Amino acid sequence: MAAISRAGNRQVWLAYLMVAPIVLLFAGLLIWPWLVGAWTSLTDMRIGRWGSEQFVGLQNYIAVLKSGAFWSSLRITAFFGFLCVTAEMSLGLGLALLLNRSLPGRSLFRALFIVPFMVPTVVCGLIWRQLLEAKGVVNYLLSFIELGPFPWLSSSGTALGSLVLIDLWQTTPQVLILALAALQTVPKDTYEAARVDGASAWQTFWRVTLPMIAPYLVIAFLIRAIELLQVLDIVMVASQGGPANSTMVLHLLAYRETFIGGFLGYGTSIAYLLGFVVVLAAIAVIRLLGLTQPKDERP
Amino acid sequence: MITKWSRRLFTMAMASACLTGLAPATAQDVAGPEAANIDWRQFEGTTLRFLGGQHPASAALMLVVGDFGALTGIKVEVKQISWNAYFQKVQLDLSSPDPQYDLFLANGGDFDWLYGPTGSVAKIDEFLNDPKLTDKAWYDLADVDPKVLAAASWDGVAGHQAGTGSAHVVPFMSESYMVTAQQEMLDKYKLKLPTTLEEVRDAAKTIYEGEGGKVAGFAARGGVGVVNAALINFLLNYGGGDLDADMNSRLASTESAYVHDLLLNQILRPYGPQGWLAMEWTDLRARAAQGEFGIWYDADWFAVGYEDAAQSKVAGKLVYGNLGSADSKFADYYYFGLAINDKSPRKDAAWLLAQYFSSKPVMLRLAVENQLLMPTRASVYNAPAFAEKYGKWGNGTWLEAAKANLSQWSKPAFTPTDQQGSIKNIWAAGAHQIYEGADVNQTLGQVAADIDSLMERAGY
Amino acid sequence: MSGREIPKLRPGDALAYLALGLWSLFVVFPLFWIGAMSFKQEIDIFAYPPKFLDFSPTLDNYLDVFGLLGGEAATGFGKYFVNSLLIVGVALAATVVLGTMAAYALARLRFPGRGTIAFLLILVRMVPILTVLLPLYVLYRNAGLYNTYLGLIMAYLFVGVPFYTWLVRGHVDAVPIEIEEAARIDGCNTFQMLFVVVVPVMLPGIVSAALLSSIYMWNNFLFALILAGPDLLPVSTALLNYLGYSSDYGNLAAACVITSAPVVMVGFLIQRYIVAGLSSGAVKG
Repeated sequence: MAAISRAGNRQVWLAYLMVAPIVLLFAGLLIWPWLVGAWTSLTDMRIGRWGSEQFVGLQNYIAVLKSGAFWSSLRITAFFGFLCVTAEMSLGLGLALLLNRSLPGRSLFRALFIVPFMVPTVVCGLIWRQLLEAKGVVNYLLSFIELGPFPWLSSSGTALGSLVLIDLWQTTPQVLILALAALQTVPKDTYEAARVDGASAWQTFWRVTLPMIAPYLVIAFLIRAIELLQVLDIVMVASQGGPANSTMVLHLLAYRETFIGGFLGYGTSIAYLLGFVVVLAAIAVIRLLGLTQPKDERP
Repeated sequence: MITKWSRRLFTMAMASACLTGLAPATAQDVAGPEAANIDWRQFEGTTLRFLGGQHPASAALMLVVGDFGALTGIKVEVKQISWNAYFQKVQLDLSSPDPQYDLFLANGGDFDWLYGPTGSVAKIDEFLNDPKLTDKAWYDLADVDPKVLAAASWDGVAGHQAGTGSAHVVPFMSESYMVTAQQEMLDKYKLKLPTTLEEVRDAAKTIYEGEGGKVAGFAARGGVGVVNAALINFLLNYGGGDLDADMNSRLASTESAYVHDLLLNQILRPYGPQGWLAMEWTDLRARAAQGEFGIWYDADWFAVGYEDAAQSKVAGKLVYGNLGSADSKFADYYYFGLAINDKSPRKDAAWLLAQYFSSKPVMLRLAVENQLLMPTRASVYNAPAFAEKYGKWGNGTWLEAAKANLSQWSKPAFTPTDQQGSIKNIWAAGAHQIYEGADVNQTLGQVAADIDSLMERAGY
Repeated sequence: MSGREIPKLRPGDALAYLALGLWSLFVVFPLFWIGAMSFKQEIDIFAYPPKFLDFSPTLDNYLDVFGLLGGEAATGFGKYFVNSLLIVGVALAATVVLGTMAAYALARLRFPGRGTIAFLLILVRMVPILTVLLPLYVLYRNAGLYNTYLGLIMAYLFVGVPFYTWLVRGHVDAVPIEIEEAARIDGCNTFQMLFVVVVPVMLPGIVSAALLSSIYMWNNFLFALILAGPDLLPVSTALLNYLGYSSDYGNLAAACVITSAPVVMVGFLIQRYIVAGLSSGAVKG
C-alpha cells in the first residue's frame, strides 16, 4: 500500500483532522464506558444500590471462574461456534463454487441467497421459533417423509442444534459473499491452464483455487468466529437460554446475571472474560491459519 | 383479553355510546368519584407518565385516562413496552435522581420485592393517611381482599413472609390459578373434574390413552413458567415451599421430590403436551383454546380467551375448579398494581391516579365492560352485573372457583426476596432436567445448592 | 465475460441446479411463511394441518399494527418506521463522511498512531456489547443524551463506522496511486484529492459499503433498547414489543414483514454491488 510520502507536519496535522471525529467518538462511546465497565467488574455493584458499591479486586473474576455455570456456558458457546463455523464455511464455500460456474440464472440465485442476511435477527428468531414449534410447519412437512416430529427448541438435546440451524439460515450468506468475492479474484485463465494440464475438477479446486482464496476464507472464518462467540440476539429471541440451560451462551449468562440477578459487578466480569476469550480465539485463528495479505504491499 | 377483534368491538361500542349521549354505565349503586370528599382537581395541569409491560393491565389504564383527565385536569401518558425492556428500564429509572416515569406497573412480588425495600417505590400509607388526598370512606380499603393486600406488603426483612410491613401498591388486578377441563372429555371417559394431583394423574392417563395421544391428558405451563404457575402451587399443598426463614432453599425436601416426581415424571411427561419444555403461557392459552388439552391448570383470567367463541373452539364447553391436594387447594396470588416512583415530584398527583384506578366504580366498570380480570374488591365480585356476566362460564363453576380462591385458597406463595428472577431460572432449569429423565433427588439437591450459593452471593 | 455467450450445459450442471434449488427452498420457505402469516386471520394461523395457501387473506394485521383499526391499545408502528429512517439515515450520512475521511487517512497518510487507530477499529468488533452497555447508559443519562435522537445516532455510528471504514480503506488501497500523483501534480490538496478525485473512482465501493453498514444499523436492536424510551424506538427494537405477552401472531408477522422489507429490498437491488464491493475492498483490508 503506497502512501504519498510527503514529509512535514502538514500531512500529519491533516491526517489527525481526518480521523479526529472517529477517534473522539470511540474515545467517548467505547473507551470511556469500557474503562468504567472494567472498574465495575472490580466492584460488588448491585442494581438499585448505586453508590454503595465497594472495590473487591478480582473477587468477581475468581468467583466466576469457580462457578460451574461459567464453564458450562463456555462449553456451549464454543460448541455452538464450532458447529456454526464449520457448517457455514462449508456451505458458503460450496454455494459460492456453484454460483461461480457459468449457469444461466445464477444472479437470481445469488440475489435470493443474500436475503436472509438482511433480515433482522429479531425477525429471524421469531420466524424460526414459529416454524419449529412442536405442531409447527416444519414438523408437519417432515411427517410427509415419514420423519417423526422433532422437538427442535423444546428439548435440551436438540435446542442448540436448532439454534445452529437458525444461524446457518441467516449467516451462511455472509460467508457466501466473501467466498464469491474471493473466487472472483481468481483469473479465468487459471482454470483454463489447469484444464489444459489435465487436472480434474477436484484437483483444480484443491491445488489451485483453494490456495488462492485461502486468505479470504481465513478472514471469513475469523469474522464468523468472533461474532459467534459473542452471540446474544438470536439466543435471546429464540430460546432464552433454555431449555434446562442448554443454550445458555456466555453473553446471555452475563446478561442474565446483570439484568435479572442485578449483580452488575459480577455480570460485567463475565462479559469481560468473554471478551478475553474472543481475543484469545482471534489470536489462535490468526496464528494457526495464518493471515497473509494477498498482495503484501505494506510499507 | 384485549385483542384487535375486541378492540374493534370496543371502538364501535364507544362510538355508539357517545352518539347516544350515554356514558358507559357504571353500576348505579356504586358512588362515582364525584362522591369522594377530596379535591380531584388539586393537581390540575400536571402530566403524569406511566410505564408498563405489555399486558392487559397497561392497556386497561389507557381506557380510563380520558375520564381521569376530565375529572382532574391531569394528563396521563401511558406507555407499554416488552417485558424484557421493561425490567431494564424500571431498574434504571427508579435509581435515577431525575426520573422519567411517575408510575410503573408493579407485577407482583417480582416488582415490589425488588424495589420496595430499597425505598424506590413509595409506600401507600403516606397517601392513604392524608385526608387531602384520600377519602378513606369512599375508597374503602377494607373492600380490597386483605389477602391480596397482604401479598403486596413486605417489611423488607429477609425471611419474613409477605403480609408484614405496609403495602407498596394497592393491587387492582390479581391472578390466581384454576383447573379447567373440557366437559365432553370428562363425560366421554366418565371422569369427575380432578381436585388433587393424584386424581389428575389418573384422569390424564385415561384421556391421553383414550384419545391415542392426540389430546394431551393434562397441561400446565412449561418454560420458566412451570415454577410460578404450577410447581409452587402444588408445593404449597403438599407441605413444601421455596425458602425457609433463613433463606435456604427447601427444594431438596422429600415433599418437594414427591411433587416434582408426580407432576413431571408421572403426569406431564407421559400424558402432557408435545413441546412442553418451550410452552410459555401465551402458547398454553392459545393451544388450550384450540382444544388440545383435556385438562389443564393455569391462570384464572385466561377464561376470557377460552370463553370467546370468536377464537376459541372450546367456548361454553368447559368446567372449572380448584386443584391441590386432599388437604388444601392453595394457589399463589399474583397481582398487579400501580407503583409510584418515590423520587417523582408528582407523587401526590400519581396517587390520585392510583386511587382512581383501584376504586370501586372504576374497577367494576373495567371488570364488567372490558373484561379486566381478576378484580380485587369483594364488592365487585358481589355486584349483580359481575355475576350476570361471568356466572355463565362453565355453568357457574368458574365464578364458584374464583370466589373460593378469593375467600379461602389464594395466598402469596413465594418468600419475598429480590432474587426471585434468578431463583426461578435455576429452579426451572432443574425441572426441565427432571422432565428429560434426570434423577429427581440428585437434580433437586443440585438446584437447592445452586440457589443457596446464589443467596449467599446476594448477601443473605 | 461469461454470461454473454450461451454456455453449454455440462452434466454436472444438473446437480448444481438441484443443490441450488434445494438451498433456494430452504431460504425462501421461512420468508414465504411469515409473509403468509401476516395476511392470515387468527383461526387460520392456528389451523392444523397448517394452511399454506388456502385461507382468505386479510389486511387487518397490517392495519392494526399501524394503529388503523382503532382502540387505544393499538400501536402505530408507522412512528417506529419513521424513527428508523431518521436515525439510520442521519447516522449513515455521518458514517459516510467521517468514515471516508478516516479511511483515506489511514490508507494513504502516514502519521503516528495510525496502526493503533486501525487496530482500534478491529478491536471494536471483539468487545462484547455488555461490557459497555450499562456504563454507556449511565454516561448518556449524565450527559443528557438518553432518549434523544442525537444520542441514538451517535450510538449507531458506533455500529456502522468501524465496518464502513474497514471496507472503504480496502477500496482506497485499490485506487491506483498514479491517479493521485497526477492530481497532486495538478495542485490538488488532500481534501480536494479525496472528494474530487478518489471518491468518484471508488464510488461503487463506497455505495456498497454504505448500504451494507446501513443494513447493520437498521437491524440493530440492543442500543435503542437500553438508550432510548418507547417513543424513539426504531422498528427492530419496537418489534420486541410484540414478543412476550402478545399472542397476536398475525400482528407479529405483519410487524416482521414491515421491519424486514426495506432492508431486504435494498439488499436485493444492490446485491451485485455488495459482492463487487467486497471483492475489491474488504479482502484487502
